[in-house]
Amino acid sequence: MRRSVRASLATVLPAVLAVGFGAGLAGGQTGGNPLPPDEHMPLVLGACIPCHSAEMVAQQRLDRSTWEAIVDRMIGYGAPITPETRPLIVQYLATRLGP
Amino acid sequence: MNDRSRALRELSRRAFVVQVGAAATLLGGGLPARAQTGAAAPSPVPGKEKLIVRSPRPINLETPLRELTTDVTPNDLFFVRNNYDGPVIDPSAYVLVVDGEVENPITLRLDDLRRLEAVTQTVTLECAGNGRSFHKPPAAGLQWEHGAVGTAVWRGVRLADVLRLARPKATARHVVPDGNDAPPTPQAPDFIRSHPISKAMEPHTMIALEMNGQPVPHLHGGPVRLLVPGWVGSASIKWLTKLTLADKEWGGPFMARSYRSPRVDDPSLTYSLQSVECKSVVVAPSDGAQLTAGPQTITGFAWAGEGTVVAVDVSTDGGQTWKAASLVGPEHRYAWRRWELAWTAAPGAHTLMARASDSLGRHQPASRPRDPQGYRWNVIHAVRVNAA
Repeated sequence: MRRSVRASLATVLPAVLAVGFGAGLAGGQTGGNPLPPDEHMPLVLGACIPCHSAEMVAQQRLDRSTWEAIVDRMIGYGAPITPETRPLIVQYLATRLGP
Repeated sequence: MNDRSRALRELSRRAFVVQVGAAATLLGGGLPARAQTGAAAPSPVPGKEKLIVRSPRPINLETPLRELTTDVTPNDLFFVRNNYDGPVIDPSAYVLVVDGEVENPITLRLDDLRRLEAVTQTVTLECAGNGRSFHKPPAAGLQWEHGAVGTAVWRGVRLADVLRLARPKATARHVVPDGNDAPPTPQAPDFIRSHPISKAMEPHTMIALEMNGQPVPHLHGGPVRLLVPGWVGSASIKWLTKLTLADKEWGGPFMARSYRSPRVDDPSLTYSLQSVECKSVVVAPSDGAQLTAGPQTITGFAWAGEGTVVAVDVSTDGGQTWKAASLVGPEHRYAWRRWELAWTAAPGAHTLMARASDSLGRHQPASRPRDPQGYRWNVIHAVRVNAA
């Protein structure tokens, strides 16, 4: 196994990413942003793409409780999600990427 | 090179940095011209242009079913499933450590592995989540259709031969393999899947150095990967750097949480996935094909993990009647088997189905109970065609 230094960067990048990627660039290393547009989409993008592509998120169709469990697991893995942004991110996922 | 400088070098190589640069550009230069309104297909991965990109980071690529036409899947068509990406390993710097419950901890380089007796075998690998997209309601995870499966000719050495060099103690009951992949944060769990020593000592379980006559490509775990034939693909750890013998199963999240399905005897309990299911797919004709009425050949592959495929039955009338297909092509202990059936297509619409049975008494089911994480999809495959 290896450990990268992304974690420290992940603490400062979400704001940059959330603003910069608001209109939707960079879902992954190549394509566009596949996440459905919404006022909170930039928040979701900024929380997720420090570690993985937006495609990983956009292809899911999950109910609220499953999304909550995933978001909490990702917080445990160091995702840059705060108590303030968590409900907004869950709301986006449950409504835009629901079953 | 210390861990930090190595990590920084790695970081500079990766798309993440590209994204940061793009973000900075955006902050200074306004919004991108190609603001998105919907999903855009990611660009192909070089060398894997025909594959469907399920995720560009980590890289996960699916083979379109129509491309799985040969007994051995060429490397450029072979699916890729990565829980985490990993840095390219310089073969001259490669080191494999064997430690834990052993009398003689050892460190092996690539040349040390090459000096052991070589074995070559044809093995099918299938991702545990292959077919996840067909589960209803949807299950979380990569939404694979049928193509997270492929068969390659692997050359390498027996895992048992490597373990014997380290002289496992009587307390060594499980092998805990670790690879050189990189969890993106310190908190994210390392990707480790253990297996019992009984499977490790089987002569088919191997450390692969070549895939289809080439050094194992990086995307497939090269220069050195584990190969645990018949088991879900996640057992075959990529970029193998360490084999730790332990007195118990690994307890990390990729054993304790992921790669588990409900038990048949008590669905409130789960078990850790080992063998893949008994399964077949119709490769040709493809779903939606427009055929010329008259003689046709229906063909596909069937595989059964720890079982052996004993029969494939095919229906050309939506499952009302079945005929035995011929098992053709080469037969290998842990590889899929090609099957085919001659059929005279009358004008009109037809639903073609294939149903495999194996030596363990397993048959492909017509339906499958919900699997919360979307594993074990082996429901009878049906394709709809039209003949005129």
